[in-house]
Amino acid sequence: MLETTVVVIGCGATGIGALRDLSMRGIPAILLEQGGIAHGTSSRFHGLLHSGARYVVNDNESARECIEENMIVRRIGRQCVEETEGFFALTAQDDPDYVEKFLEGCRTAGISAQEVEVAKALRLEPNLSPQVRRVFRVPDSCVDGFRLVLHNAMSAQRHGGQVLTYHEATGIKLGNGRVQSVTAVNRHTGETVEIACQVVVNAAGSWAGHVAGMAGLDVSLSPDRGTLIVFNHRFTSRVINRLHPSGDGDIFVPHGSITILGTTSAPTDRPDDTTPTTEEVLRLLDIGEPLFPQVRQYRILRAFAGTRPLYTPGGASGRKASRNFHIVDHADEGLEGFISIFGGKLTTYRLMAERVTDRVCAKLGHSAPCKTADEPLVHDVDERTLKRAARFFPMQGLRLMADRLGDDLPGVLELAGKQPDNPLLCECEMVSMAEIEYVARQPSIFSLTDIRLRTRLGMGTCQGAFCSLRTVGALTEHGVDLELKPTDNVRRFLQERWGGLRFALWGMQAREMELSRAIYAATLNLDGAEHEQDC
Amino acid sequence: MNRIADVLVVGSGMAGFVAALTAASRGKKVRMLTTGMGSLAISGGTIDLLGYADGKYTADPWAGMALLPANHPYRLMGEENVREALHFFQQHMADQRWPMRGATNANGQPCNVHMPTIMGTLKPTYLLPERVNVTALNTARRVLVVSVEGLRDCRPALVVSQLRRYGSWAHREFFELTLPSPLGQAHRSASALDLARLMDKAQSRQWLTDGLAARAGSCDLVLLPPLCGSKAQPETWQAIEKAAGCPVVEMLSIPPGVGGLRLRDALLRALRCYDFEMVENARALRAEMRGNTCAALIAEASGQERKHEARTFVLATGGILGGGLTLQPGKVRESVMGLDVAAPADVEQWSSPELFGRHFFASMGVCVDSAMRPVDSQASTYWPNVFFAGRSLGGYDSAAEKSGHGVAVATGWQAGRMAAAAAEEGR
Amino acid sequence: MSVRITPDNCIACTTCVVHCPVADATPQFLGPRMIGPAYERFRLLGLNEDPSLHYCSNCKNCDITCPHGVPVSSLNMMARADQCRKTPPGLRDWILGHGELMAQWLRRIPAGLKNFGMLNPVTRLVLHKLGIHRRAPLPAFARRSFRSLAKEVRQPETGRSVVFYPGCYVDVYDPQTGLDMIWAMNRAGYKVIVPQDLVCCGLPMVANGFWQHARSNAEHNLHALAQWRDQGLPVVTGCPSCALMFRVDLPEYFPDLGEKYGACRLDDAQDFLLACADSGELDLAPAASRANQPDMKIMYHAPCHLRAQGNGLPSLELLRRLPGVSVTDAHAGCCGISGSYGFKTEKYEIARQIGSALFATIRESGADISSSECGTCRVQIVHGSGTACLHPVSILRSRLEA
Repeated sequence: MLETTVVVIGCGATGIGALRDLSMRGIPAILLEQGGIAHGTSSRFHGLLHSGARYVVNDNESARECIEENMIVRRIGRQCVEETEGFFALTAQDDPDYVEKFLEGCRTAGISAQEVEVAKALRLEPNLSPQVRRVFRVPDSCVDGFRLVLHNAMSAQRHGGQVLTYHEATGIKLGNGRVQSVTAVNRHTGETVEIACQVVVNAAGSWAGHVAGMAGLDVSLSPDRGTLIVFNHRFTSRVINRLHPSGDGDIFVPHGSITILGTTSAPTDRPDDTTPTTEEVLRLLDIGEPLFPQVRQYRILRAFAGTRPLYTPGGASGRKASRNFHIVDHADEGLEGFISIFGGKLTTYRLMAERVTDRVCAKLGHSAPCKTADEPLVHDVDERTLKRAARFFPMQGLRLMADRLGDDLPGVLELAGKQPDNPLLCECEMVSMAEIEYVARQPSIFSLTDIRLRTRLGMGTCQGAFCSLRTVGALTEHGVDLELKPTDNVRRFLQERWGGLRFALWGMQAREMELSRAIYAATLNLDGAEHEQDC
Repeated sequence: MNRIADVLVVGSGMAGFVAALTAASRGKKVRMLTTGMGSLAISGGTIDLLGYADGKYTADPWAGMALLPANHPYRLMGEENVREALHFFQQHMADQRWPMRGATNANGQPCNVHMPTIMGTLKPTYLLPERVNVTALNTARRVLVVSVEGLRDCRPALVVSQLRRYGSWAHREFFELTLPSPLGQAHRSASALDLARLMDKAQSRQWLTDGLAARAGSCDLVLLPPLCGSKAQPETWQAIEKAAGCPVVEMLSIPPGVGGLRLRDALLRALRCYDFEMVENARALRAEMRGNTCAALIAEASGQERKHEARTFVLATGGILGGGLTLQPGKVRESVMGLDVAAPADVEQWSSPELFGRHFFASMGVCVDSAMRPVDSQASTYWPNVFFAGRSLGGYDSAAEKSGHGVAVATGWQAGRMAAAAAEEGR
Repeated sequence: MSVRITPDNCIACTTCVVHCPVADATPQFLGPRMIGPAYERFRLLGLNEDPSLHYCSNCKNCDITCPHGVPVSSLNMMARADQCRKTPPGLRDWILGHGELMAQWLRRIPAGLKNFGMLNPVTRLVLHKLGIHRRAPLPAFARRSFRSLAKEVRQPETGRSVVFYPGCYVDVYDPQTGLDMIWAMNRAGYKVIVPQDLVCCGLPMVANGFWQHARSNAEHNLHALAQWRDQGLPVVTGCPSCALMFRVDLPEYFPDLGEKYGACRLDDAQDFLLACADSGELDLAPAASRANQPDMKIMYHAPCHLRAQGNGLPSLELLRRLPGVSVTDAHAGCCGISGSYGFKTEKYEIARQIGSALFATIRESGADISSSECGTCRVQIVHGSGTACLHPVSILRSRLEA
């Protein structure tokens, strides 16, 4: 039986943000997550660090929160943010009268929205449609959701917080009208663990209803599935929004070497409904075309989907449901020590975490100021370390890698120093052997997918065709085991990648798939090798 | 004198080369159009005839053929013809000093060989370079798995750990050897091809032969990544086996395809004995008809178009991978003659959610008759002088069946000889 | 809208790396796939350039061998242009990129003096330090430029004309080839117009990082050539590199120029002559006075830039049709020089290594002579194999003319 003060359920941005805040305020806390880091929505969205301009007309208060938090996240999570700025572009199909409302709303919320001459905008973004009528620049930025959660976890752990991934909460024990403990099962070993605590923070996102149910509470969450497209190359260096009332598929977001287009909206009853559909992919292309007329010629790498954890006290769903966050202290329903936080946007995660932590502190009678906006998530790499790193890593990819790794960089360098050579195992995304091996050795890493999320292995052009073999080879040679045997690891990884490829199986990606099959089936016989005993 | 070819072959993969060689060796003037250097640059050097029929492993590929559906290219042309095609291929390989033979079991029956791959898995294949000592592969007790520092694709530890899981390999003794790289510290990561090219020249073989010689006598079989030269040149392999003092077998590997390059080398040498011309960087765009016969293909020629007239045409355009079939949302087209390929409008029905399951797209392609002429849904041929071969054909899944090069050789030969005969008639 | 050069078509199949002569010669070059489309995805992110980009020789073997239409060499050249915008190229690259301009400046100096000045051992040592290898086969300046000599050639009035774009190599170093071309065209019944206002196609400028100069030359040429196109006259060139530049490279590098001036159709002169032979316009029977000329054995080398054009090898076919001539295609890959590449001090050995298979093939073939359409290929072949090398049209003349 473990004991702590607070158990946080859910390792999305909100949950990890709460763990960090609690830990920084000196409150012992353990976080339980059923999957890997950022298992849920935080790793399945478009990556936009909102300026808030999208919300100025319908929800100005939300918009104001966005711009304030946007600035904070850029400061504390520099390594997770690409400072790109954004454009709002009025296309021929959009209502020109909306512009005034938009500008008024930006002024009220304190969001800078400056008009850019169309000719200049086209020089800055040559792929943008020459048919756009007006363009405004706003301080949108791009954030790597997974990395943000990862770096928050590193910070939380530095302050004494504990993260237990692959631990699914299975029950909440109550007694005397208050929370007593949380039970969870370790999904890898099957062991159950019980954690005694005073407060539970339910930050389970799309699963928050399910978790609340474990405490006997009835909460109506309406998850909403959103599908997004990943394009093979970065054809815009800025976030591009359509200047119209928020709708489907109206944001293009650059994200490292790729571009993301999203998002659709479809109510679903399953929090883990992460299967896109071809129909949504085609619809996104239709909607995106007025902004980027060449969009159908750009190669689609894959489609993916996440669920928005929408919650409205009144029970509305889809675009009508609020994007705001709600903190509910279930003491009002007779259960002491159980606080849920629903909804919200990743951009405002820190504020959401601060508010919920304030509530927890009030409950515990603990007074400590919130410092999460002041301290960077991870330390910046000093020049000397970067110089050392240059000996082992390709110069150009150095900064990218250093930002990815955060606190892990010194460990990776040490590992790199032990080998005569540090080749790239993933050439499409420039990921080297030392980085992969270091991550693979972490206790919470079980599969190639876990490595992928931390390093971008298999997220580029070939979608794992070459790098998965090289990775299991290197790991076997260096004595690093993953959960399954190497062939099963690769099969599972390729299957996971396949899950997003098959919905856009045309054009060049169809050729890529054939090459992949030629390698994995025709040459390596990964599909036929079940009868290992018979051969 | 004119420049009208007897047989115009589109595609420089295995099917294209075999079709060209078949027609050329029958005295026909053959011109080949190719965009890119063809699949042999990235493929292996053995011929997969048939490993899995109807999802099940088949030890005897010829027996397995009978289990294939009627529209499978092997069934369409008939087993006898497939045998002749393979025989033709073997004859020319032997002429080019790279003889290949079909594997047999201990009783002399044709039998697939389970070749080790650089991942340590086993893949059934049939026609092998004669040098491959199958007996040693199947029975050697002490196995040395070799790789080279910096060769990311091939790690002996992985190969050994995986091979051990197979019944027929579980009780053997394994040794691992990773040799230092002769290339030293280089900006580019070494590939098997880089090392194979070093091995082409007698003066740069020592790094490997010395390394193997040091272990001679301690093992009965050496497994290597494909390093035994980039050309179809038996001396290289001989030198390596001599140093090792025991049979040396190359593991099957991923691109770049050293094994495939050797086959290409041999096929090109064979082709140059005949009236054969290759037009590079020429993408075939469409056909020009004269009545119901195809008169010419129009190909791209660096920003302009060029007409290629011929008596007959063989399209070995490589299916989805080679660009012979183009996929757009809801539509599949054969890209040169413009044939529509039957496919559901819903892209999600083109594939199974299971990556290693059965996919509609995997066996999509052009329907042909036994002579490899495309036919419509009524089974009538469209044109008397147009033939298809290889991946653009429908009715087979080369990746799941392990039948890629096999179908390419067989249908290439069939299309090549049919085209040659039709060209003769056309005179 | 114009074509945008993107890395989207690359599926990482490695076919281009298999056939890249520079990758074969040195493991210090990352290879066409990594430098081109793979790295392009990161250039778009603003990352610094890979240090081995300079190894790309722009031979186009990657373009020829890519099965998926990736514009590899264009990606590399555009990356080089970007790199040279940030770090301007040095004097050596300027010299190698501006051969025509230099010739223009030095035209008043007699050829003998110029050549002595450039080619004597002391100058060669100085050039070596500057970055031009002392053993590089620098061509000698001709006494007079082809364009000035062409003005004096008396051509028959046949009513049919063809416009000839000589390329700066023929113009400055090898006017005889241009004169032989005029002879051949005349024999086929065409009067050759040699415009005086055309300039270097810009390829050496692109290869050495002078993007804007290449652009101005391109604009100048497209403007000048438009009038011939508008008159319906065919425009031909004997140099495959120039042809490729106009047909493929310029539309990819400067799509707006194509839109402004219209497409420029530059045909291969040898292809043109072969078509004339097919139609009977070009008589390939030798003059009576040549009745007893000895048979000739020729080893033909197809320039990489010709193989990239998708027109096959018209010269090979043309030479084959000459009586008493046996021609073999050397089929030995790139000669290594790739324009100005093989002259550079740090690239000379790589170029020699790349061409070594070709040189050996020629030497061992027992051929009387070798032949190639590309001027710098000829220079490299002579240097590496010790065998004479002529343009096919010169061989034509030598076998047919009375």
